[in-house]
Amino acid sequence: MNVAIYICLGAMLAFGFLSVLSRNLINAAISLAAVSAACGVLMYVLGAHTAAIFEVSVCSGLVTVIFISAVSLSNGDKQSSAPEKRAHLLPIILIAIGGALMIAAVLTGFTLGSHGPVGSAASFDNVFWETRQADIFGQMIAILAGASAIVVFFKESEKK
Amino acid sequence: MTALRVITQLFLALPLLAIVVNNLIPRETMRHATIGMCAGVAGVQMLAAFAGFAMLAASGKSSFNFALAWDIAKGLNYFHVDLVTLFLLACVGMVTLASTLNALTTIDDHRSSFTNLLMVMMLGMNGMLIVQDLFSLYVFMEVAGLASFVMIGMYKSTRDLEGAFKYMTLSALATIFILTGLSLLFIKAGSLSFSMLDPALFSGTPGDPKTLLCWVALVLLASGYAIKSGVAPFHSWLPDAYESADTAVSIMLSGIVTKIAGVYSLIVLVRLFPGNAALKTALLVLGLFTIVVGALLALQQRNFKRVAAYSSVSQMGYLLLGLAADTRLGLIAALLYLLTHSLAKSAIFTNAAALEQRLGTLDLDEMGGLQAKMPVTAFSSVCAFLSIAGVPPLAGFWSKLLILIALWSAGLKGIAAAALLLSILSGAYFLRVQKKAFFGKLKERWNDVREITGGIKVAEILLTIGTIGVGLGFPLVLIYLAQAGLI
Amino acid sequence: MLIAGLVLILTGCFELIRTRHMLKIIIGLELAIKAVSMFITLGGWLNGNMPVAESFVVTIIVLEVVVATVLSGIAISIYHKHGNMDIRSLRNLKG
Repeated sequence: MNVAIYICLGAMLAFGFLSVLSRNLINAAISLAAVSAACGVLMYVLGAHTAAIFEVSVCSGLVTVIFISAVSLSNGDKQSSAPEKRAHLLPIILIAIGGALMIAAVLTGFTLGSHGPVGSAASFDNVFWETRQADIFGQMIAILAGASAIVVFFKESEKK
Repeated sequence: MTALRVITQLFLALPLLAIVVNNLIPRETMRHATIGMCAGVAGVQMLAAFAGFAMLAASGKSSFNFALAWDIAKGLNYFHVDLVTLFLLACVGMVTLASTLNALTTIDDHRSSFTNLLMVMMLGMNGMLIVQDLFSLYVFMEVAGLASFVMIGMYKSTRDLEGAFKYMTLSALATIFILTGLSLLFIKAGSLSFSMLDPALFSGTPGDPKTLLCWVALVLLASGYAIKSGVAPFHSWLPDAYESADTAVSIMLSGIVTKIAGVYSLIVLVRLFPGNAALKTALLVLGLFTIVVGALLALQQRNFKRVAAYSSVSQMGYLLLGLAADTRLGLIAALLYLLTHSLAKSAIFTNAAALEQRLGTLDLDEMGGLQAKMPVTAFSSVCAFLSIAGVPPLAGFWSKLLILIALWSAGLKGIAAAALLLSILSGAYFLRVQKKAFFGKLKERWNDVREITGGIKVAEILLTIGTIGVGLGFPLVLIYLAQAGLI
Repeated sequence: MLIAGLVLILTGCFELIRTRHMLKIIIGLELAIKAVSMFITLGGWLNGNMPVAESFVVTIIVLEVVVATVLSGIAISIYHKHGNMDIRSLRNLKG
């Protein structure tokens, strides 16, 4: 199982860097979808089956669609006049920091312990619908707000 | 306690009902009534919160748990009010009322969207105040934030969208901080509900990596909430957002959203982890820094609303100082300061609305001598600014005094002295604005200007009465606190 | 595992702050939130309290979708006004 975890992490990192560094917006969106997929697999491996489903279907799917429609609605692929300053140095710095932290972690014996006790036999359904109603209520309202936002922003204004 | 049960349901049910009604009834019929309906909801909330406060205080219990109506039968209770939250709920109602009174005049377009969003914002803030779980706190904070982004950008002029976008970006950064902090806490704590988090999280075998993560989490959480409160050095979004929004929205933002979303979260942090020295020191430093930065920047502004915005930044610093005292008196002082500041700031933004309606501009250099033409506005503005500067007998003076007393009695005498000196700065920028806008010679352009009428006038008068009234009535509060042994 | 997540979050944040293209800011945000979801799942795994962690992740995903939508809405409106997606053109509010 550990191997699977490391593969997923590597994939997430790789695609993450790819999406940040790519010039083309569509490539960035697809890389983001790949990150989501890797994250979903990781979550499944860790045992969060329901969350993995949500992650893969919503993030890889819905958010990518929203993003690409935003891009197409705005012809975002036109290169802006001044090319964006490429922060090529950035991934190297980040990987260096990551490497340093890992070395420090190994040296100081920093582990988070292993898989904790399987405390609750409660399944996701139970916990979600029974105890987290406040969150559910909040989500509904957030969706309401999003709907109003779409009405406000996407309605062609008759009077400017 | 059944009356209390009913009342607490109202906080969630009423705005929801307003949204439903707003959307079901066809737009034309609603046009005139919709903002009035919002005002009604706000007013009822204010009264309900006061009633709840009185009932809870009288009954001697310190808090009350409840749930959504259909879940009560199941014996669940995941919502919770206590005296602090009821007080804040009343403030929310009050500021929303002021905002809707303004909106009656200033909002002409998109009325039903405004109502929807305003009710969503209210729901978000109410929700923040009644949940018992750090994660739900975040959820509702995000909801209120979403509503405010959209409201800022509602009229789609260039400036609106710009302010909204900048706010969203910084808020997204804050979200990342807060979420990361929450997840790190979750790793050690196993749950994020208030009853399960306690200061013991931060002790534990030294060198235990999980404890280290908790400290990191605390730093992240505090930073995230600080960004949301508009505390320096994270305040850059605040003036842009306040200025570019329509005034009714600015009232909501400055009067309550920044406070509840940001400062209440900090209050929660302080209450959850009392005695945490690092947190206190951080709040102290941030508070002082904010007061100075806000006041200095306010001195340079040309636009009426921007002065008000920077003034808000500065006053948040005082709130942080009150919290940093980490005593019950400090908390009470911060809450009362919140109330007086809401009153005064809402009055100032109402004046800004009046000025904008009648003059068409908010540039200070173009105004002058308006006192002759707009006496009500001028008087209200004077009262509000005096209150913020801390001049007796207005409300602001007493609450500032209370914060100073709290700091003094908590042993932070130097800080108290510094805060006292810094309020001179507050006086400075107020004088400048008043002189430029209202005193001095009347410019030719403004010869035909008349006083503002309608909802805005009512709001101005009410808020001014509130400021003066609270100021006059404050000594009673002081007497009560002395009896309770807190002073 | 934490470290990988940390790097991801940092990447997302940097993207958020430094990029000039409006829509790329959304990508930065999304990336960081992915990493946070991973942290939460990790926390659930270590705790044994997986269902709670899953509830958190699901809620976060929903909120994130709404935020992404609203952000793109604003970005598109700005595009219609300004003609480009460069945040350097958002310099109207000064002071």
